[in-house]
Amino acid sequence: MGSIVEVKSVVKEFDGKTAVDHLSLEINRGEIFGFLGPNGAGKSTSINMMVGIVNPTSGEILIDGENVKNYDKSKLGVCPQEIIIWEKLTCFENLYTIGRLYDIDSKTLTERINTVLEKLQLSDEKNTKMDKLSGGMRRRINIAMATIHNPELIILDEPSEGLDPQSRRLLWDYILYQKELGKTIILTTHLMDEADFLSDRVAIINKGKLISLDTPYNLKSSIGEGDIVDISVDCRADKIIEEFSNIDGVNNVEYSRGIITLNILNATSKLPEIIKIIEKNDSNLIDIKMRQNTLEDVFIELTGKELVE
Amino acid sequence: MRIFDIFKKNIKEISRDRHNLFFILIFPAISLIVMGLLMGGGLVNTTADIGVVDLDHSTYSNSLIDSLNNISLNNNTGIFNIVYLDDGASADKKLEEGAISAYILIPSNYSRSIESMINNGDLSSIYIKGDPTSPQYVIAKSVLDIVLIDYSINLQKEMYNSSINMVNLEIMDNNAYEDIDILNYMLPALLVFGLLMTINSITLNLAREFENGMLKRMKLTKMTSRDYVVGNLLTWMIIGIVQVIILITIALAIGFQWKGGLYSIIVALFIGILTMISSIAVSIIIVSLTSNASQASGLATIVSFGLSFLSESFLLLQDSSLQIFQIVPWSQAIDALSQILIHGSGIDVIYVNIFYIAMSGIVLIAIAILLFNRKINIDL
Repeated sequence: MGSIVEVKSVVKEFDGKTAVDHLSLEINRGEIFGFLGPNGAGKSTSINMMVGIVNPTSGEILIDGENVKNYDKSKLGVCPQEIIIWEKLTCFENLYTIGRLYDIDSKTLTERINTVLEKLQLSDEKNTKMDKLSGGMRRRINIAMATIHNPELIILDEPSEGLDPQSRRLLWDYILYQKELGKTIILTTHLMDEADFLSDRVAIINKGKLISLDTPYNLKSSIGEGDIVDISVDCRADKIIEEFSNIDGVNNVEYSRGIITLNILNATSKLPEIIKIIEKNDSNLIDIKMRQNTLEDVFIELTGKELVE
Repeated sequence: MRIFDIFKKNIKEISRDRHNLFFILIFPAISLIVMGLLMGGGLVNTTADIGVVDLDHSTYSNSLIDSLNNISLNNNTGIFNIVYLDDGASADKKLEEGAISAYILIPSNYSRSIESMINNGDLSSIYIKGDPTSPQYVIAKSVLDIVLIDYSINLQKEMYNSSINMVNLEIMDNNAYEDIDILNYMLPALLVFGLLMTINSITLNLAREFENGMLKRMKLTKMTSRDYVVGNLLTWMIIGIVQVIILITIALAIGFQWKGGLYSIIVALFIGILTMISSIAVSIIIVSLTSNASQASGLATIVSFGLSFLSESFLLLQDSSLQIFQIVPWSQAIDALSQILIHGSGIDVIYVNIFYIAMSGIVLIAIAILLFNRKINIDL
């Protein structure tokens, strides 16, 4: 398969502050690569360096073995997080104009626009001006503008931000369709289910550093196999947490905003013991939920619960 | 070709944005009408009284007064009346009272200085005084300028028995002044005022594209800075043509009578396009030097009105030290348009102005591309 993107010990500093700190990773050809991190972690700066619009302070980024600055722009498609479109142009005109700026001939471009609009269920809106479309439709055009020139490497920066579940599923289908065409996709998102569902591999960065890189399955396994139990109780939980830690099979116990989260093997068989500890501490159980380990748990485990603004 | 795709995109966007369209095309047209009303209380036939103080009482001074009289008599639109005054003091008093808009003073040594000019090549002086902020002074000054040029040419022809072609003699025909009215004098300046006002629209359009991230998106394509700048140049030059056509059409509708037929209009359009290059360049420079759309818009307003003032498309400059700014291309355009539209002059009279406007445009565009490239590379 081979790698299409090689990020080699890249550092980026702004006014003496390190935004990206010796980031090294490789992205394989044809994969969907999830790029996760809290706000201000350095995701956007890393992406901007990968597409060549920000220069690294040190290190090197190669795409197809070439320095990103020399890489053929038509092989790269970038969908920004914000919806950036020409409001007064129609769907067709938006795609046509951006396609022409990639030097695609008119006939090929028209055919391609029709296909893309059909895939994104926007054929009926072909001649509608953008300022008359819904947010979901505009976001779909936003992504279409990044792919209309048939690039080999597609970078999607939070592509489904603010979409309803139906529109999100439609967008996911389109992303998977691009993968079927053999494209490599770098996906940054705050939606962990999106990263989990779409990504072949996920990189998590925090404070400019790569802290984990693996498949979603391996990442979820890395914080302990088993189930997650979220418990709400009506009193201070210090003593309860201490006793939960001693239950056989518990990998981890955390407390945040009134909820105790247990990572535990075979949770169902441990439920009586859990309830007994709560009652013993003169506390009442308000709510209890059991679920599978998710990528969000991995993300919180690795980046912490502290709010980052 | 990417330049034409940017051009087509711009034209579609602008033509579909009613607010934008209003400020680009309708606002200058309204300005033409409103300023016409402000300048004269009406668009045609505003009369200015011009005082004449003859302290020389010679053949030469009589000849000059005759020139003024001839125009006044033939001027059936009544643009000015001549008021004879005894001395400078009484003229100053009349000026202060507002009884006259300006006066021309022929000094007592005028005939001697003319003879000295003939014999030694010295300069002769005639003095014009008035309130430059008065709209009537604008008319009076314009008429006196033309009369004095006419007079000096006739004088030289008489003295040297030659046909010195200092300016186009055709416009010195008394009949040429039959149609003189305030609008005729104002139109070239108002056309340039319109072209200067487009700085605001161009700046806002470019700054918005920068601020909303579209330029960044376009930079990720194969588009170069040159494609973008030239595509926008093309767009706004076309808009400049449309703007000049609209303004001239409105002017014609309200009584403007130009000289030189269709040829003059075509040359005026050409001057408009050339001048537009400088306006576009200034807009790009403003966008390059500011960090957001509101900052750019504020600076564009200051610059466009400042340039309107300095190029005298808005008011006449009283401070002679500021008249150095008349080298700006918009000021040159007013001169060239006045010659073409009012006097019906040919290219031979205005080629220096045209050359100057073109050169200024090229220099400004070069600076604009340089700064814009720098801005793109820093900000993107």
